[in-house]
Amino acid sequence: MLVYKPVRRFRCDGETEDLFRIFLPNVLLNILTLGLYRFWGKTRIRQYMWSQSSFDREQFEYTGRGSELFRGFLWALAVTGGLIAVARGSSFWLFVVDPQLERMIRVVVTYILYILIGVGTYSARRYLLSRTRWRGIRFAQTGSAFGYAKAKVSLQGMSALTLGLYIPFMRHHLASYKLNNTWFGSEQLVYDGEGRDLLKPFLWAYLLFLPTLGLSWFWYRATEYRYIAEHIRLQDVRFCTTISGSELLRLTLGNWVLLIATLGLAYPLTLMRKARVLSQHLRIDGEFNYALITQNAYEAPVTGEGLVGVFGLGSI
Amino acid sequence: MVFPGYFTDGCTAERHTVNVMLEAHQLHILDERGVLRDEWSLSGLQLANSAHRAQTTRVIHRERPSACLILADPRALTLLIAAVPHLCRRRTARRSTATLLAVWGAAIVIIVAVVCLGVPRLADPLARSIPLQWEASLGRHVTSTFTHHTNVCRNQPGEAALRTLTERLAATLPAPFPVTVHVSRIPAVNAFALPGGHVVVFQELIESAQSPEEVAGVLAHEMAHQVQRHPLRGVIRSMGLHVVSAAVVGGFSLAAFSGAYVGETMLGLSFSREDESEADRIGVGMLNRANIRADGLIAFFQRYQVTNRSAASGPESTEDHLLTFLSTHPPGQTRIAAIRAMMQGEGDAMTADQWRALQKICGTEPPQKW
Repeated sequence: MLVYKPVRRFRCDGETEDLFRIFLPNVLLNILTLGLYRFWGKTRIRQYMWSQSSFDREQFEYTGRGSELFRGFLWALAVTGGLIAVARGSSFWLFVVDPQLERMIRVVVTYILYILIGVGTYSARRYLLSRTRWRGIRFAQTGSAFGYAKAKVSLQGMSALTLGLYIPFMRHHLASYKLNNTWFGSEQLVYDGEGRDLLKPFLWAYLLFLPTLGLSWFWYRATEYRYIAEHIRLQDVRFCTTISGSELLRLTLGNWVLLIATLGLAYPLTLMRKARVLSQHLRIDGEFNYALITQNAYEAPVTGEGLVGVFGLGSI
Repeated sequence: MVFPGYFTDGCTAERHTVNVMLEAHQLHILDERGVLRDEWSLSGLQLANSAHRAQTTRVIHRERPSACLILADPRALTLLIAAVPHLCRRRTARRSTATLLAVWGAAIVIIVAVVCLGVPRLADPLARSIPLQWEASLGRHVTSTFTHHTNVCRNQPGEAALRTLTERLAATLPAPFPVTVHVSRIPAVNAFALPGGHVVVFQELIESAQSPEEVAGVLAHEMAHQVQRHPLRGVIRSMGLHVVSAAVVGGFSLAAFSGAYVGETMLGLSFSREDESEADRIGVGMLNRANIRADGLIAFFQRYQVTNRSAASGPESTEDHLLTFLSTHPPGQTRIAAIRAMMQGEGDAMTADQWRALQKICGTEPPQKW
């Protein structure tokens, strides 16, 4: 029996011009407030981008608030600031007593900060998903940020020890950790890929890295995107992306050039380019059973993205 | 009035095709079969995110945080606003502009106050509480990173002359630690004080000096900074400023941990205007007690001022006042007048032979160590 499967694409309807109209006042207010407005500015940009993205004729909603980002930032600042103050103070004092110990403390503090970066990126994703709504249903992320950060450090260690050959496995594991802990309402995302499937395209990119001046990396990344998307399921409905290496290359390099040439002022344009390319290629084959998807009860974080903000890692 | 629309109830992801009936005090949401799905009071109605161009109207209700009503007909919004005027206002209760201005104004004032008043004020008691041995050790560390990268002039007779002068000045005032003077082979007219009694004088300052009293004046000034432990205070101040600026801009650099950073900070350091006036006063006092003429210092400042002015903007102008206001050093004329009022010493700083030796302290050594 042939089952009719509707093909549904993501859409991005935003206008670069509208985004500039939000972005430019943000820049001005940022300058006037010595950068403190950025949390509210970021929120406005997200509200716009989310509301312009839609799937199956229904737009996404961003429910985050600037004050949540601000409080998250203050919290993270207290943690890292305290850590740094202790490190600074002790290094000042240790110049006198034991320079060897001072070096050791510096290594330990650097390690802790490195772990905190991993914790920060995972928690930021948790916040972002918890503030994203579609058809009135929240997204969520489970799993431990600390577990993710520890896994990341050891996986990166493995990659370094194998001269990079472990990279596809590392990327698979990290993607798996994030995706398998992602929820849409009561439904858990399932990612069932295997790291070894990524090895062959990675080896090609690895061998051609120098001859192509690093451009082969974009072809690997596109292959990886396609592979990971194809191995994501939600309610037995599969995802799919058709992005190619050359498109990814054009998008990434184009955005770099735009940002550098305009000293960052073209940010709305680059954001829109990215959203358009990604949504143009992402599609879902099949129909969800919407009646079975209910609201999840996972506790949403109260504040967001503090560590990412302190380390200056935030993307959107 | 009846509008067509969609309804998501926030319990499941289902989207119901509905008809919305607008009554006097309520919205009735009926599904396709005419069954009542929900009733919303008009007073709790709000518009979802500010609508952007060509977007459908999304209505939410205060008592149903996750539910959403999507009105497919663009005319529905106009009719709804006619019935519920408060929808025009923004979704969230808007704070008055005055409140917003007050909050932001207060935030900015607090930050500026912390930067301008708090940090320098805290630096002084903190500097006083740091043991002398710590400062001496920090000074050794910083000075070694500095002298390591540049060439130090060590011509024997010149060093001896400099040491005699330094000891003569040091004898006039109890300094917290012995003062060590390093002459650095850098072609610039400059001298600065590092923590722990280290003074660095640049080659060009000695070679371009017209008299030994000029060098003695500068040396006394820098030694006075040492007596008051200004360099340590400066380090603490700039570290504090770094923390505050990092808090505002939102980025800590890992480089900030390293000892090299402390050294860097020192090189870019400038003392406050009060520190400079104080160093002038104490420095001239030292010269007086050592019976050395202070007009060398005056000559040095005058020469400096002339070159500065010709480089900047010609004769006396308002710009000149602005510049002196902005710079950390007290205005040149005020400064010179203060020195002139204080100076009592009449003797020479050193003998003619010693002066010749000092001017050759960088001698004929090769210009680079490596």
